[in-house]
Amino acid sequence: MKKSTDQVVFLAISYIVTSLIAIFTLFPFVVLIVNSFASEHSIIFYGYSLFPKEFSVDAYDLIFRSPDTILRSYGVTMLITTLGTATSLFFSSMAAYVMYRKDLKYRNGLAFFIYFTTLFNGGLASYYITLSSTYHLKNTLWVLLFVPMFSAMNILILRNFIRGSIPDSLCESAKIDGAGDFSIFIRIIIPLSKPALASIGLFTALGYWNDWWTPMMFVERQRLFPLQYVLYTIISSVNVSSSVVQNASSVTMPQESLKLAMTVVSTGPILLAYPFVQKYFVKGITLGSVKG
Amino acid sequence: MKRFRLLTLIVTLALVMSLILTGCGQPASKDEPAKTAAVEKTAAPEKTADEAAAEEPAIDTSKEVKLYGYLLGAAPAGFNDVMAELNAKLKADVNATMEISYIGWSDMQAKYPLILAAGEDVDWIFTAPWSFYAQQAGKGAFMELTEEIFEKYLPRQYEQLKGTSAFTEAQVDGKVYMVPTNSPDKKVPAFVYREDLRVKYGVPEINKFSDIEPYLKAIKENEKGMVPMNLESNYDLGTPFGALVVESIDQTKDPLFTTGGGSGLVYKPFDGDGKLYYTTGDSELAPYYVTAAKTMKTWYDANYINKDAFANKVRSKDSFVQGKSGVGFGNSTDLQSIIAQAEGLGYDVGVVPTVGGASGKYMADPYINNGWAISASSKNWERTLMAMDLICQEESYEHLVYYGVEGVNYVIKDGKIDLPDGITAENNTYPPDAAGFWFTNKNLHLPLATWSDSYIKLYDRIPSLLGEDKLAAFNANTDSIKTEAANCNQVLIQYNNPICLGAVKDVEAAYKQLDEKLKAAGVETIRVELQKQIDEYLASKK
Amino acid sequence: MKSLKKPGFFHELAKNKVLYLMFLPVAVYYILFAYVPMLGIVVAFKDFNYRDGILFSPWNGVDNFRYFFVSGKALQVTTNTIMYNVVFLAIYTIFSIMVAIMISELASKIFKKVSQSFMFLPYFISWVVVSAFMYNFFNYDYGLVNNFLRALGNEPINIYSEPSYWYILLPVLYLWKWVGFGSVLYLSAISGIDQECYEAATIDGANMFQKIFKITLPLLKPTVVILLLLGVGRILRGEFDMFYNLIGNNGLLIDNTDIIDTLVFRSLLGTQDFGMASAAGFYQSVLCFLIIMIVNTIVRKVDSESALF
Repeated sequence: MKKSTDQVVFLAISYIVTSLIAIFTLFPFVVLIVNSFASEHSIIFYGYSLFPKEFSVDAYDLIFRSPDTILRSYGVTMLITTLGTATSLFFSSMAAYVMYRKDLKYRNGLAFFIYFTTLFNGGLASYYITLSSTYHLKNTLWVLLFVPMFSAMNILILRNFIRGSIPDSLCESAKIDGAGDFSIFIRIIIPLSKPALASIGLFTALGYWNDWWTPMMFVERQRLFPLQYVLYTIISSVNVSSSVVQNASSVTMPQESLKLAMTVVSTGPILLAYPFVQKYFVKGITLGSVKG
Repeated sequence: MKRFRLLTLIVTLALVMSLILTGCGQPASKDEPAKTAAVEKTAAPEKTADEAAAEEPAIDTSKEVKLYGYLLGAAPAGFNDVMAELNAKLKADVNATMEISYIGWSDMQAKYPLILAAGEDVDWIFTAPWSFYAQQAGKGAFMELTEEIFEKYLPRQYEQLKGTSAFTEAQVDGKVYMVPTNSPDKKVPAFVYREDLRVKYGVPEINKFSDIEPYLKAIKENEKGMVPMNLESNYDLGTPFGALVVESIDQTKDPLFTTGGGSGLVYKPFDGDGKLYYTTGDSELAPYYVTAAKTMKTWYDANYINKDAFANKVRSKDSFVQGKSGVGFGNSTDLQSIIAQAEGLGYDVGVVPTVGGASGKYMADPYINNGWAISASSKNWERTLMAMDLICQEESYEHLVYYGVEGVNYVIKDGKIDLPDGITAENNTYPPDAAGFWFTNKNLHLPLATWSDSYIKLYDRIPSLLGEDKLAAFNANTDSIKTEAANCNQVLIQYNNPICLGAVKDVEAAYKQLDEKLKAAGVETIRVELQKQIDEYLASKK
Repeated sequence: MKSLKKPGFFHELAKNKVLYLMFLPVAVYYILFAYVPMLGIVVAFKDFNYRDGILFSPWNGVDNFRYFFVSGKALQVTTNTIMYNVVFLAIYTIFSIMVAIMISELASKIFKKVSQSFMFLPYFISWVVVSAFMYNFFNYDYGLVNNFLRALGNEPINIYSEPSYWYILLPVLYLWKWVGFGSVLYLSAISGIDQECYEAATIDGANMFQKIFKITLPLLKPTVVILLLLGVGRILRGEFDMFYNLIGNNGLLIDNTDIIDTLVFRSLLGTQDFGMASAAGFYQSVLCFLIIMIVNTIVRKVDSESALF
């Protein structure tokens, strides 16, 4: 099919703008990878450079000094990320579906019930004491699963997605056909909301993957440390050993390149998973395909 | 059918979730020991009184207990091995095992008070004024430790502390809540510079900080790529300014000091009259501050100081080692590894302590600068005290927690602590000092084999450089002035730091502005209240 | 008839029991993890101590709020917080939509996926690392930017002593970090649009731009509105991590870049008072609450389906 002028113009603009933004976002990451392999001396003396002046793997050496710990923490992270995301997505979309149903009298009340929690909170002290002393969640896998599990924003966004992409008539006709509330959710809502579920699922997974706050507050047993927190402790112990240690160490700890290497180590795996999510963002879902 | 199954699944999941959450998942194991322990605890003070009256029978350790402790920092890699050995020893001696967790440096502000507020599974915890000892004690975080308790459960520690000012220092509203170290660190602030470059460019000798200007100039003019003073945003920022002030007025101390902030009031620790001075406005000290600030400004304007100090996260001592900074700031303890590294690179390093101009001294660390406390919620405080007494004072314990496992992390060679064959400072899994036991008896320590000559020279000089802070034991109570304290702190961070760096356009105008802002923030209220507290404290000491 | 029009609470529950049951897991979660700890809000009005705990510590009225309001900076930081958030929200929304529409129209699948992946990268770079980047790129002595300026014969710039640069830098950095993230949401919304609409438009002879303005944007409206509403509900909550890591305690920039969260952090550095920290949080909550109630009511009046609740 031959493209019309307006299409050509639009595509040209799109390619140019998208490329520019992509370069703008990629460039720092390239610099980051390059300099994670730079020596401490070259970073402090010359700053970041586009080509490494003095090549060094000190930072990675330090991170993988105890490979067991790192591998184990990858395991913990993957476990809570997959388990947490699946659970969260299922219950979130279910709640979103409930609030989407127009025949539900209190649907706005429910939305407010969820939303209100983003406005007010009891502060850190209360949260900490409740979780650790009342629920005894400290030093458990549960705490890593539960704390980042639901986000009011995500649930409300899901509700709006369902609202925007699934006409009420579809639900009504299904009801007339004798489908129950739950089977409508499973058979119609879920298949039709795949793009929304993919994006919210992605956000949830990233939330789990990057969560270092929960383990910092609630986990003190090393075998339960997720990846981000292990990296975080490596950084902080390097900072400490450089400032309080009486021991005369004759090499400098690679503090500056460590920051960068940490990002590389923690970003790598989840980046590889991204293309699997992307296939859901392809334009072209038609309601007809489900109706039939 | 399918629908039914799924529904059941969801309901069960929800139920399981709520069960686990409300704590029903782990009933007896969690609650029961807590109850019995609580009974024991309430009965305990009477018991000690009774026992003291009677023939002092041996303390009952028949029931094995687990003790929970908290340190600051992060566990070194070899921590588990050390703990395994420690627990074997503790099991044999006091029938207890210990589990130690760490509060990371960057989480201290948030997590330290929370652990105490929640009061869960914590028997002892590191404490010091710089980790908010007095504030936490005032909120009821710690158990009071009477002299009888010290005598009975901490005999070795008590022996060492008896007759020192440690107990007065540890008092909060007349009560002691912590066990201070018996061997406070001996350290003075100092700076390092490149002696080889100084000689090379024919710069006059540097004996005190104000001598440094020609050296800075020489570096700026001759050494491309070097910054004479490459300051960092947190620790370093006010350090050179402070060194200049101290040289002209002698030591001063802010009773509400925080890094970068404080109250804007100072006293002279060696004077003993406890008078609080303003540092701005028409105070008699103000001219000294203005002069120092003007010096900083000339240096800043001449590019002797890095322009982006506010954003630099690399300490000057670390960039000194990398040949970036001409000067490195630190203290006699942490500069030691810097000196070793720099000498390894072939630099000739000069070390100069920054001490008071008139007295030639720096305030000695108080006893309470490192210590530990029993949490108010501790279930096994007696056993904790007994175990900690061993850890702090028994040589075998002390060396274990401080240097690690003998033969693995250290060996003793010619009366010095050395590394075993094949172990280097980099791959040692338990470097000395790193595990956070900073309150043990350091008099049991041996010199390290790695200390360089110039460090030993400085180390030997330190005792003569230390003077007594007459108000070291004074703990300010900020309850009634917390609004003013918070606001003055933020005013200082905003308006004083640029002055200290020399980055303001007009020093006098900047001071005038700082003065106005401090007065508006209520510095006078703080002065009146703290002066009252200090006077009462000094009167009580007489 | 009346009872049919206004069925009671229990009648409604019974009628839709399956639906309410389906909501239960999330409801239980929010009760346990949000509403129970929310009782701690009283700490803002208490002189908190550990012996008495959160609920039984003595009240101290509005003492905990005083420092914030007598600092003379309350108004300034509140305005700053709102202004920055408004700018952030505006550019974030505009650019996310723009990028999403462009990417969705691109023909090359590979290019689509690759560029989208690249835009996501900044999400993984923490503000700590971003601040190290800024320091290195804009360093006065060796920074890339200043080397470039010097090579052109210009004066080097020092971004850490001149607030005006940050009015540009902060929004740009915010955009850089979040545009990939934001465009994903709009991209999935676009994926949800029925293709038949476009086909019909093509038959009617609409061109690309008409299709975007007449079909895509109107159909994105509900998503835009909900995301804007969610943003407005956080308008008083500053991006602490960003401001703290990039600006820190730089007194030369503070007046122009101080937000509520950084002011509170700086003030309470030496006090460690839960009550005072909660007080500032409470102030933000109340303002957010008032603003979102007003905005949401207006939105509901105009289009009840787009409102948050």
